[in-house]
Amino acid sequence: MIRILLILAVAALISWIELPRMIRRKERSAVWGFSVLLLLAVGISVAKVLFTSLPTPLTYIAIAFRPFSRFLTALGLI
Amino acid sequence: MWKASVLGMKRIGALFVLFAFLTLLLSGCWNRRELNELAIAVAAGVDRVDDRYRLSVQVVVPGQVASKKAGGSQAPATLYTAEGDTIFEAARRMTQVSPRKIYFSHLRMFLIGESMARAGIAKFLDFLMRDHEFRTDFYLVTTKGATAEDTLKIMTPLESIPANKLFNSLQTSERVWSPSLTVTLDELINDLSNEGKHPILTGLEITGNREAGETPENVNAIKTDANLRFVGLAIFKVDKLIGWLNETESRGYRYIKGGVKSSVAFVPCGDKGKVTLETVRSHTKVTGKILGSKPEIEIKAFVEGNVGAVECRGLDLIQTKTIDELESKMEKKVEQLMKSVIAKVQEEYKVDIFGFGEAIRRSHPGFWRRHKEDWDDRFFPNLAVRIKVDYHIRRTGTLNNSFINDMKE
Amino acid sequence: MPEYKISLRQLMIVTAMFTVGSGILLVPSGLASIAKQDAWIAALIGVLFGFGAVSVHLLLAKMYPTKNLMQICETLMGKWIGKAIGLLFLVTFFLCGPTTVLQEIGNFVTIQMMPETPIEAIILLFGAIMTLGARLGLEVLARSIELMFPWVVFLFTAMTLLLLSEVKLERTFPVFEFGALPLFSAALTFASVVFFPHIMLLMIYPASVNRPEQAYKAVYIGSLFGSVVLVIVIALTILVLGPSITAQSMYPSYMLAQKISIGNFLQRIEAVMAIMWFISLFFRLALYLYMIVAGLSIILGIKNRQALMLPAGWIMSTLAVFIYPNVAYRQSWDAKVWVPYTLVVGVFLPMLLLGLHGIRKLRSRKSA
Repeated sequence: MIRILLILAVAALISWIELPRMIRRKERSAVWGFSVLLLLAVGISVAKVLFTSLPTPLTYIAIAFRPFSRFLTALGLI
Repeated sequence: MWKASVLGMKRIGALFVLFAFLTLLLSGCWNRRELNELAIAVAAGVDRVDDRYRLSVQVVVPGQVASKKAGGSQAPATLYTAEGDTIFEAARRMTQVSPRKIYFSHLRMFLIGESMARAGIAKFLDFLMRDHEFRTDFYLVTTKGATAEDTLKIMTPLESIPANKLFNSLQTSERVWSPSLTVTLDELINDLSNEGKHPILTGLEITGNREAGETPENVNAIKTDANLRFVGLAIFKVDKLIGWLNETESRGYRYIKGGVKSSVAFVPCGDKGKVTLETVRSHTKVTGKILGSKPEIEIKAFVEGNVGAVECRGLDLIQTKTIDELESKMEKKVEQLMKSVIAKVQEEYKVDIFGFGEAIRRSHPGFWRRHKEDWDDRFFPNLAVRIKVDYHIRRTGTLNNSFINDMKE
Repeated sequence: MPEYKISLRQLMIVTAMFTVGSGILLVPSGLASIAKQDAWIAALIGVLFGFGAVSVHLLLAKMYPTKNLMQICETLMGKWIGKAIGLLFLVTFFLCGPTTVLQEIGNFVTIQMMPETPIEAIILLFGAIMTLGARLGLEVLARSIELMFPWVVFLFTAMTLLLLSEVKLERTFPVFEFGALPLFSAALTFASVVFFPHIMLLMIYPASVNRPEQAYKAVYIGSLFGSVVLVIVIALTILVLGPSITAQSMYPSYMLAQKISIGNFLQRIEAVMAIMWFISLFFRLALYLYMIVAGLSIILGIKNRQALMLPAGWIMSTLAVFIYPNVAYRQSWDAKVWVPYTLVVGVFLPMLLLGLHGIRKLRSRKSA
């Protein structure tokens, strides 16, 4: 619980550092991009705290490359 | 100007916060181990007792080593032992007797008890390589005629920590008296991993009165009761001890391996005399050849030496003829040393400790690949080894001809 | 946001550090297990492969001296497909590149130096400093590399000279014991770890260099320098430790540094040598982070790329904790997926772009 609060505190800190400058300069796209990324970061961190083991996104890349990988293994190049 | 000072203040403030934060991070970390929490192990030994490992660790007692007063009531090092089914387990169980967790990074000697050596050394070596605390710069030896634990109990004069005495002694003795060989952990692992060579370790034995050697009385007299002494080399078949080489044979082995930096040998002179020559440099090249379909090894040794001591009369060292004679006598002697050890190992033990298989692998990998399985049984015992020694005598010490020549009869 | 220009010399040093980067720590073990004592030959062949790949990148750069990689994609493939491909490229590269290497750094420190420290602490600390570096921008990073470069060179030269006494030439024999195929496999692994990711550098040059036409020289020289360092390190591991131990160990370059022992007093300085690796790893990852977020900002049309660095760095650090669930996953990934992936993004993608460029030129020539 305290870890989640810590994560939110860090998110708030980062926003405090970055957001005022962006809002002052009226950079709408930057504010959106920043918020999305920050949300993603908080989401992943909270997920890591709550669940002991998370699936790794590398698996999807591995699946996508499996045929090519098999081809190269058959060639003996891997 | 007002703006500048505000900015300056902010900067100083930020720097201050940064430094404070840094001290928080840098002053201590998760893995800090203060010096007074460490039991620094300088030597360790492992024996085999009833199918279990018995690990003995010689730990430095810092107060006793650092104090200026001679002696004191405690020994300079203390021995902890523990048993376990695996060596890692034994190392951890040691905390039952030791007040601190053992710190292995300063290990200088690792003694393999004879019982352990005969049972096989590969299994516990994995722990030594895998654990990050063990470095690869300590020497491994096998004990002969005593357990590793007993060997670690002997007190030594001159060097208060016995492990240091052993380390320095082995290092020096490898340099100046050839039967000893320093073997570090990575050399041993390489020997075990490479197919063409079987490992070899120096042997260590306790001479004299063992019980007296464990007490401080041992270092109180000028002649100590018990001593730790390096003896010949231990022969391993893969990872099990199978035999020993005596002193002469070990010297032959060293000459084959090369790198003998300083060693002494004597040749007869006249009827009853001896001339001692000191080797200062030697370099050996072992090449594998295949003649017909049989492997052959060629050993070329290049040795440089000086005349160390003359014990006979009538030897005229100023003549080049004398020097040539001495040179050829030494060449024969070194050749004989090498031949005898090769013959002994070929006949009696049949394991390739010289790395001849490695030489064949390097020069003829195809042949090696086909025959490596029966190298030890089929090829090694009948391996023809051609030895050529080139001995050069450079200097004769600070005398020309010995004063013995001028002595009255 | 003004585009900062870096000088040619900075580009050369950036390329050199980027090349040395993670290879110095991660490549020797894999190479030795595939190619055994010929690992140094495999490294040399890998350098050749790598230079081939870098030449393709440079050719692409020559065609578009004012654009960076994402802009090239958009130009050649149309706005939306280009953006999509670019996004895919960036996201996958983000996962496979800096995140995994960050975990590698954590693994290295926890295995060799501080086993009781939780890996999160190390990853967080390194991640934070890399994010800071990326946030400060390319110019700052380039200048800091320029400053630290002499130290890396000094440490590397010192390590090489101090190890020369332990070299045993016979450990490299027999040559070609197992034929040529393992060599090519090992060379491909080498090139894919060290050189194929150089496609990422197209984000920096030629657009951000003050003299784009000369950029190719800087990149070649920098890559050459990095290659020399890597080949020497790999050769040293074989010559000093031997192929078996190199293949068995996780971090043979660290064992190399442990072996330095001169005259019984210059010993146990491996942590000082490790500084060299930490520096090169830091720069490689900070540059990665900068380039990926810069690419993202270009695709999304966000001018202020500096603001995006902090959350991106946070994502990288958090992901790095569990990106490889365990060491076995990492070995299998490095062996089976990394090479195909980098082949596609580092070799096939630029070739595709060059091909599209060629088609474009043909079409415009026909119509003219």
